[in-house]
This record gives sequence, C-alpha cells and structure tokens, in this order.
Amino acid sequence: MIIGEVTPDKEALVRLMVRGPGGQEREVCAVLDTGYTEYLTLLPTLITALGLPYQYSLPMSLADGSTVQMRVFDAAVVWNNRERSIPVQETDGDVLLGMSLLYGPRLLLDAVDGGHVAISDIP
Amino acid sequence: MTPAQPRYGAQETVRRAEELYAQRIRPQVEAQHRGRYIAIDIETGEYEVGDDYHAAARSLLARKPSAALGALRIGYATVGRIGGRTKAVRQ
Repeated sequence: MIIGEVTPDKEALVRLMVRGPGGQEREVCAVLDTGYTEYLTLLPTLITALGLPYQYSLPMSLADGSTVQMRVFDAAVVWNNRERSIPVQETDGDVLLGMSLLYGPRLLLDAVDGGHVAISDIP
Repeated sequence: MTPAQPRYGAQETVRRAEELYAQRIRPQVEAQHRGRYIAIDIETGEYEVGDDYHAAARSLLARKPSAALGALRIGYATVGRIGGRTKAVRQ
C-alpha cells in the first residue's frame, strides 16, 4: 500500500522514490492529479540530476484548451516496494502523479486537512 | 539506444511527426487504429502502432535503435492531457 496525505492547500500528496539509470535516486513529493492522463512530471533540474535519458516529445492538451509539447524521459519509480519503469514528462511546474501510474489499484482519500490517502489493491 | 540529447527540439519533433502522419501515414492506419498510439521516426517516416505510446516507441526502437522519435494518438489532436477532458478529432 502507498500512503500519503491531503494538505491544507487541498492537495493529495504521496512521496515517491525516482531513480535514474546510473543508480541516482531522489524522493519527490507528488500531487495526485486525476486530470493528468500520463505517469509523472518532473522538473528539468531533477531530470538532469538523475541522468534520465531522453526518449521523444509528445503533444499534450491543457485544461485551457491549449497544446504544449512535452519532452519524455525514461525513469524508474519505486511503487509498492517494486521498481517500475515509466515515462516521465518534463515540466516547469509541480510533480504530478497521473492516471497511467495510478492505474490498477484503488485510491481512497479523506478530503480534509491532514486526511489520509491510500493506494491499495482492489479486493 | 536513444541519444542523451534529442536531435530535434520538442516543437520540431511534434511538427515533423504531425506532418508525416498527415501526408503519408494517416490513410494506412486511421480507419483501423483510431484511439491507439503511433510512434514515428521523424526522419524516415517509419512507424509502429501500439496500445500506448511507450509500447509503440519501444517497438520502433527495437527494430531501429537510431530512430528520431515522435509520438501521436490516432484520431486525437494530442497524446494526453493535463486537466480538462479528452476529445477526439472529428473525422
């Protein structure tokens, strides 16, 4: 099970370990974003620090109807104590955790300050 | 193995992928693969279709490790979204 919490700013946060190909790793604080279809966004500085290899660029649509091109890099995350290979999208904004990474288990959260966030297997 | 630095910037990558798709690839794939993802070598026009863009990209790289990759979603203006809702392109 993966656990996190809801902050007073109304964000559901979980901590996630991200790894690069050379063994570098960093823990990130990610906002669960069910409006985000892909896996994970990271800042350019962290992508560089982890030595993540570039893969390709994708067009993504934003809530305001505009389109942005986002660069995609290969990374590994520790998910439920197991390492998963995922594509990471480069962004200048916050670390977002999207539906492709969340896909599969059950997400439960108590939508109050300090509320519990739990990601676990669907029984 | 993909290079550490892209040969093309993000805008150029998407522009080339969309151009190749519109000019050469679309008639071959759109009717049958709407909603699936396509990885395109933006220098040669070779491509692979997959259930997600990562799978499509890996398929193309497996047979052509030096490919300069772009990726699109068939029948959609974008591959994914941050916020809002997914909209297909009207045929």
